[in-house]
This record gives sequence, C-alpha cells and structure tokens, in this order.
Amino acid sequence: MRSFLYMISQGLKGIRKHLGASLFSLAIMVFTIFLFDAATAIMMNLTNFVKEAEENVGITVFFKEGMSEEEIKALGNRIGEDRRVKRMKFTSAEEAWEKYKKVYFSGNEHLAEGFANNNPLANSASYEIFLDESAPQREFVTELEQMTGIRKVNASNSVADTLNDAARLIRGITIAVLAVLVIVAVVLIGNSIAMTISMRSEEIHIMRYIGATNGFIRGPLLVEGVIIGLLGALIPLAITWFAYQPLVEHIRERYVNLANIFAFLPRARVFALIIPVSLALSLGIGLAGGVFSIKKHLKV
Amino acid sequence: MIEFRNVEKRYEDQERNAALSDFNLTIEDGEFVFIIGDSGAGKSTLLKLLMGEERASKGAVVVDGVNVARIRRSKLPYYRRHFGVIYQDFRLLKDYTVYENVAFAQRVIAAHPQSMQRRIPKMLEQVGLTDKAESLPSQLSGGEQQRAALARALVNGPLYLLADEPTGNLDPTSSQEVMRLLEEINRSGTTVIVVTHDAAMVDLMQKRVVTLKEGSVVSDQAQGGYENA
Repeated sequence: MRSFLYMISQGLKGIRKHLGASLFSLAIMVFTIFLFDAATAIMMNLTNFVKEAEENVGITVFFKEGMSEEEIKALGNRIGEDRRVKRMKFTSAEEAWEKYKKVYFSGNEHLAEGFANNNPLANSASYEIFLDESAPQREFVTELEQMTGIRKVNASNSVADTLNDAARLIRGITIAVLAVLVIVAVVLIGNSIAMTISMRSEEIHIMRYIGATNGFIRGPLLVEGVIIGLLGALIPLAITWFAYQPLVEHIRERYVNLANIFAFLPRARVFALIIPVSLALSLGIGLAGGVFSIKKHLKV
Repeated sequence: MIEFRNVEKRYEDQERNAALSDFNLTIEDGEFVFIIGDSGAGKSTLLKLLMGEERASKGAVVVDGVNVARIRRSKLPYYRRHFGVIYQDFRLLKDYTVYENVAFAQRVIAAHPQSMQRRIPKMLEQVGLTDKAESLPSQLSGGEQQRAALARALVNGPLYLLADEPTGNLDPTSSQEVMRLLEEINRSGTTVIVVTHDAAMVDLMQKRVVTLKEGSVVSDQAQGGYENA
C-alpha cells in the first residue's frame, strides 16, 4: 500500500515535471476517446433504429395457388414455431378482399359487386410476420422463400438496409481513424514517459543500485501513463454525458418526422456500454504507452 | 566473501583487449580493501560485475557462495541490497533533503515507516548530519554531501560498502573525515571496498591494497601504501 501511494505520487510528479508533453498526450487521448464515445453513441442508436425498423415493418408471406386455408394455417403454424418469430397475423383471402374494397372501391361499392361470387384475391391469404429484435430479417426471408408452399415473400428491407449501411460506414471510418489515433496516443504517452525516464535517469540508476525491484522502478512510469489515459477518458465521458440528452432533444424538435418513427436510446443505456469500454480503452492506451517506453528506454 | 575466479570481461566493442582478463581476487568478510590502478585498469568493470550490472564473459564472480552471473534478473534487486554504494559525485537527489535522500533508500526496499523513523536519525547521527537533515544537497559542502551519500548507502544495513573514488571531489580535511567514517563502518563488520586514485588516503590508512593493471591484479599487499604498491 505504501509503495502504491509512493508510485502514484511519483507518477503525478512525472506529469508535473513535463506538463507540456503530458498535456499534449492528454489532448490526443481526449480526442481519441471522444471520437470513440461519439461514434459508439451514434452506432448504438442507428442499430436500434434498424431493429425498430425490422420490428415494425413486417414480412408478408403469400401462398401457392390452390392451397386450402387449413394447409396455409398448418404452414403458418410451422413458421410460427420458429424462435425468431415474435408475432404473426393471418389475413384470409376474404379479409384481404374486404380490405382492398375499402381502400379502392370506397364510394363506388357497386363496382365491386361484379366480383361477389368470384373473389379476385382468392389466392391472397397471407401471414404478416414480425420478428424478434435480435433476428436478422434478410436471412429469415431467404429461408421462407425456400419453403414449399410459399409463392411470394414481401419484405421491406430498404429502410433497414440503409440504416445498416450507414452504421457500417460510420463503424468503418471510426475504426480506421481510431486505429491511427490509438497509435498516435500510445506513441505520445510513450514519449511523455520517455521524458520522465530521461529526467529521472540519475534517480533510476540510484534506485537500481540500492536494490529497487523492476516493479518499483516501472510502477511510477506506468502510473503516469494510466493517469494520462484515465483523464483522457473521463473528460470526453463527461462531455458526451452532458451533451447527449440536449442533442437528442434538439434532433427530436428539429426532425419531428424522424422522431415519430425512431426512438433514441436512453442515455443510461448508451453509457452503460460507453463508460466501461472507454475506460478500458484509455487504460490500455496508457499502459501500452508506458510499456512501450519502458521497453525502449529503461534498462532494469 | 567475494571471489573473482579466473574472470574475463570483454565488452561487445572490445575485440582485442579485455577489460578484465585472468582476474583472480578474494575479499574476506570484514576486510577493508583499496583497489587502485590507472584509468582503464578495470576498476569500474570490477564494480559493475559485483553489482550484477555486467556479467563476466568467462570465469565467475561469487558473492557469499552465489555466482552473480546465475542470479535471475528478477532476483538481482534483492542481491544488490547486500551492497551500499557511494560515488565521487555523490549522486544525491537534488530536489530531496538530506533526510529524504536517506529515506529514499529505505522506501526503495519498502521499509516499514517505524523502521525508517528509527534508522534514519540514527544514520544521520552516525555521519554527523543531524542538524543538516532538512538541508538540500546544494546547501551542503562536498564533505557533507558525501557523508549524506554514505548515510543513504548504509541505512539498509548492507554487508558490503563499495566506494567509487569517494574522496575524488573532496578537500583533504573532508577526505580524512570520510575515511574515518569508512573505517568506523568497517569496524562494525561491514566489508569496505574503496576504488581510488587518492594516494594520500591509501598511504594514511595502511589497509590492504590491490593494484590493477590492464585488467589483471599486479600487486596485492596486506598493509600497503600507494607508492610501493
């Protein structure tokens, strides 16, 4: 415990002694983690939009000509047994025709009377299927299309696809930029620690001759990296935490139509993921910078 | 006991002349030994081999029955705790007071605070620096700085004290004071090894004198002086 407190005080001393380099490393860390936080929040919301779109836009299945309602319902039961299916709604041929009449013959009902005994939608009995949130729609549609007795599957993939594409694009760009920034942050923190090693070379030499363990010599240097790393996470976390809700409100007000269709994730849910991951990421960068610098500059 | 057994030390950039070659030396526990010789005679290499900073190319450096070259890197710090070292340039931490410099050595070995409170004042008293405990090294004379370094080297109770040109930066009076302290420390049982060019001190002390030349022992006198070594 005493050694641990000593390491922390020495780590802070190292940061203070070359404040400029430490602040520069910190600024890069803040930018890196901020980018990560913002991109993750956007991706989480987009993924949620996709799920909502898939959940609210059902898949409609039509059956082959000549199949009786019993056969169709039997097939429907088979589909309903699939764990991915959340709920299903059956529309018989008669119901389909009634609905059609309401929409297209409204005010001219007499025109539809010619079809009284000959339902033109006789083969249009259908199931509307809503999937569980986590199930990918496209895969399920392909499986349905391959089932015997199914004539046609209507699925509105376009919204989901667009959102998915957007999420993928953001993810790709973010990963590429993050990869570069993480390397830059590791190098800068390493550089800051290398300065400490250089400034404390005399002290380190004395420590070594007195019999300091490697851990005791390396500890304050790693602590320095960890402090820069953690501060680099806490600052952007605070910024995104306080900015998230007002930003969501602003989007809701500005884009009312969008807000009616999609619900934004609550802040707690987004940060339940962002907080641990960005802390782990920043800790990893800080430690990596420390280890990188120690291996390169410190012979113990 | 320290033994150098047929030691050869050749650095990577030394193709022809070895820093030490066919080097044999035994130092018994409780001895006071001067190691003298010109620059490049191998004195610094001897200290580095003893501290495990360098490893012998051939032969063995054995301390208390342990071959230093066989000590694992992770165990080296614990081995080094058997030694206290002082240097010509004192190597005190400039931002630390005398007390903190001595405490630093205790902190490095994770000494208990109670042990620190007991040992540090005692050590400062032994070297005559009680009243300078709160002074920074820059506020001390050369002799006082070396005595502070001595307190730091001894506070952990080492078996061996290595002094690398301890009087190199001191006036004769301070040099004598440091030598008197070294003798006192030796009398209490610590083996003292002094690497020096200070002929006057060697002559005055009349202790064992080992002379090195081009990496080998050329003379070993039980009670010698600088000139006749």
